[in-house]
Amino acid sequence: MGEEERGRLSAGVSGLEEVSNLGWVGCLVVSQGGGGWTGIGGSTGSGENGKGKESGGQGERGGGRADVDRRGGLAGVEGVDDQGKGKDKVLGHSGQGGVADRGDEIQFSASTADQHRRPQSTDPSPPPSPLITTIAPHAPAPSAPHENLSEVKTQLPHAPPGEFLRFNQTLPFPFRRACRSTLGTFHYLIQKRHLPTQLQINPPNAQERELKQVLLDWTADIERQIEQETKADKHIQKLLLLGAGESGKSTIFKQARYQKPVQDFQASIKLLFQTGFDEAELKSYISVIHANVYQTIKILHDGARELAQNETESSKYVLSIENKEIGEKLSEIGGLMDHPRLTKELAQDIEILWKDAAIQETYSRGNELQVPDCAPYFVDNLHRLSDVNYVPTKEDVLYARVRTTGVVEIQFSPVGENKKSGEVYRLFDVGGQRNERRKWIHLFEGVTAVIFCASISEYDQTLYEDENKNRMMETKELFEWVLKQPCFEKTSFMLFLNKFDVFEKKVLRVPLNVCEWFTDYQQLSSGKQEIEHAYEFVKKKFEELYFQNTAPDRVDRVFKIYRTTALDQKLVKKTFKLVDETLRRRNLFEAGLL
Amino acid sequence: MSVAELKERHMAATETVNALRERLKQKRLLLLDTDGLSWELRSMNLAVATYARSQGKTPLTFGPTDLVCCRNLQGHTGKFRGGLLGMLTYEVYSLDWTAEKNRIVSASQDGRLIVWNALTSQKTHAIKLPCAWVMTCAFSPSGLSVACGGLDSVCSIFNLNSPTDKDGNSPVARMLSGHKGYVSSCQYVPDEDTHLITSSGDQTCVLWDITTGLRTSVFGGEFQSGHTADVLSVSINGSNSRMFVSGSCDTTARLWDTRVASRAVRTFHGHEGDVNSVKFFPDGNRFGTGSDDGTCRLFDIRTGHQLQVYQQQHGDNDAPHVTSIAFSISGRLLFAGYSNGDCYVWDTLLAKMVLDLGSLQNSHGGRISCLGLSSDGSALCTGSWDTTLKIWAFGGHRRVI
Repeated sequence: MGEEERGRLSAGVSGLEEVSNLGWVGCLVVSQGGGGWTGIGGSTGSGENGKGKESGGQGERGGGRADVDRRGGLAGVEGVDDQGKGKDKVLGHSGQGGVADRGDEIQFSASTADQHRRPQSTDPSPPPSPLITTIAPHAPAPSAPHENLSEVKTQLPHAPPGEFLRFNQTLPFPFRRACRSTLGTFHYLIQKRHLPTQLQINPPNAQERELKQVLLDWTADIERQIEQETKADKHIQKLLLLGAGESGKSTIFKQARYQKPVQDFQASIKLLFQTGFDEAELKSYISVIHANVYQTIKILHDGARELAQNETESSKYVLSIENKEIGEKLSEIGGLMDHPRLTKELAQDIEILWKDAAIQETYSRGNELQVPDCAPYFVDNLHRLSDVNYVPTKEDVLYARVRTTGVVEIQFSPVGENKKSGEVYRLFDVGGQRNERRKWIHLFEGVTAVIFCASISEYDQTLYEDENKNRMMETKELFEWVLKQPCFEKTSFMLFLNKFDVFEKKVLRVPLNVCEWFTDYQQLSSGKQEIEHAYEFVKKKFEELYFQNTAPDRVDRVFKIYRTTALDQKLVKKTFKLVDETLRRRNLFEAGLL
Repeated sequence: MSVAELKERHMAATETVNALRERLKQKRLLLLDTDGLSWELRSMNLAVATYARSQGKTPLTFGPTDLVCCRNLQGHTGKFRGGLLGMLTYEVYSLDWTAEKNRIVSASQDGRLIVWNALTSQKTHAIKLPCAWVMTCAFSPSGLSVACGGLDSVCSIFNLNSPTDKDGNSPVARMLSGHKGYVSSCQYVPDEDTHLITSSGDQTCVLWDITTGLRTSVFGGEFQSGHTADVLSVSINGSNSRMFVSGSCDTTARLWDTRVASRAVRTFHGHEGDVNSVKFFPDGNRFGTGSDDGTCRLFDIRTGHQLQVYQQQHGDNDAPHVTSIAFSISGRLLFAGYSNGDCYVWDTLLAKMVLDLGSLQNSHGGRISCLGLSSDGSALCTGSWDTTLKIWAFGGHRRVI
């Protein structure tokens, strides 16, 4: 091919790619004769220019055909001209397959460096990188600038014949950086009003046109990336865990980790946990557990002192003389920001103090004092906890109380064995008891379901933040508020009536009527029947509350109540399975298939 | 001292504070005129009106073609071919312009930051965030990095120029953690790529040094006097970057000096609902606020007075909340976005609404969550829960006001 033919080659587009660490660039130059495209020149290869064949020719009516390997491998592009001359096949490479006919607008989008990049490739002859190619239709029509400001159509530029542009064929830096400098120029040109601001207008000269094409392709990349990511996320159902403080929602959250984990092969989704907790993570809970122990004993000790001062039968709450000193010491430790490690001596001290009659008496009034529920469990296991080589068990971790800030998320599947039929769930736990919920609740508008945790055993307890507020009333108000939110109009609600185990023991001692919401409760009998009766009563109260706060047009949103004990793993697992079934039914229903 | 005694003293102290607060309020009302306009603004109005008339200039009027929607940025939409669930749409929560070069970054419900070229309306970057619950975003003064924050209580900084890894994710250049509540708003200190100020739901504002990732100062919080409820927005003075103002759920706005973190320079009362948005006036001596009570107000930082109230008469029931505000380059116009999709353009001096962008063609269909004016003042971008961003430019004979 001679120089004169080369001169007649015109460019539709060229592109820059990065193939490997060598950082070379290949480019494809589309030639166009008068009225038809006749040939293609391309350069591919490893570090050299122009290994591909270049052909050119001239013809009145050119013809052309592009055959592309559908696997997205090498593409052969054939240039045929009128007289059948120049029938050279040229190797180019495209990211997508497609068959083009004459006159069609084809865009081989660069499946970019992201997908085809082989950064550690030591392959001696790396396959040619994807090239950006567009093939201009053979009848160039004058392009009219669009009047409509608000629509931007990405149409291909029309190359006037007889122009040739060879963009930088070898650039020592990767695609994106080249584009960036190109874009920089682009911006500059726009700013200086050299470039039109509407992309429909055909830029006057080829360099600008090519800059425009680079920009279009970059944008197409991004759109595709967004589309892929959205598609991947589509099948993940989001669940939001809500509840008043200490309703057990974080425990439910931890339980979710013991469900069957999901291997998600979409590289863009990060999976937090693989198989529950590994040893390093278990060990990280040691300080938390020790802190819980110190805090508990401090609360009991200070509580005893307060009760001793204020109560009429104060002698009940006065510590015995030998234990006073121990009590002071432990109380001081509990008040520190950084707790010392729990040693055998300290553990023994704590045990002695715990056995003191005053402390036991105080513990029986634990509902007034914010004594955490994990107290007896940790005290029973003190010997194990204070061991030098202590590694927390799963159960220990479940009992540990950490105040959550921010949002924590977990991905799991309750029916994990068969990945195809199992739904994937993402559970979000929003801690932070002191925030204004109304300022961020709208972020969760698209969740599939809200899991609301209400601890039914707290009907006689007061809040941590405000001692005069009954916790059950707080839960009731929160539930009402959540039901009324416009962002949850279509969201399913799963109500977990939590801490049933504590409720069981408490309801026989403390009547439900102490809570103002339950004043109309009539105690029937005692024993197991009573527990069931009490539970049914509470459940009915919540149901009434739900229907009171649901507008008539929203009654078809799903609402289900589950009885749970967050610490019982089997029960939680079963509950999640039920939740999964409910939600899948709802999805099928909505899709019109049920 | 026993607990009961302490409680009593606490209650008595609270009562005293409340009484003092009442007295302050009364005193302040006395100083202001009854209809809310201070005497200085009144006289200023008179002067302006007379001057304008003497020069033959009419008060500002806008026709429907003076401000047009010239770009519609649709990008926070997840469309995929053949999907059973069709199109997913994601609301836009926050946007910011670059200091030059006309690019916009927007944050949305799908946990993505998208950087747009405002002139060509093409996307140049799409960053998927590790935490999907994002509430705010900001561009650095150099335009090289973006900061975002949200429910994860962390402000993440992304470098736009660094290459993405094999998953297509942008690496986080820096994570600024330390807040105990959600990050509601962030802004870079003008002309400094290395410092930014965030406001948070834990009632504090923090000045960060990005290079070390540590907090330089904390404004408010447990041991200092500051806001008493979630802080929702910050605005740094353009002419004196040591001063910034913050607005909060406790219905006040506070002015801070970054050198003095222990207490606010001044507290501005007047609003009756959460102050959602604060913005400094271009000359740096005043600032505007927008609130859940449906009004915008203009405050003077030197005197502490409320200069003006921008209020549409709706009656008392459910006035739409003001979600965000912006001033034009000269300050003559105040743009306010509302929760019902309206966007009013107020004349700052006369407190008259001159244009309602919600009544124009191509206006938003949902709540307007964020507003921003470009650095040269020629275009306004509004982002909304109807998943689009719209750019409005002055048409006709007007260029920049």
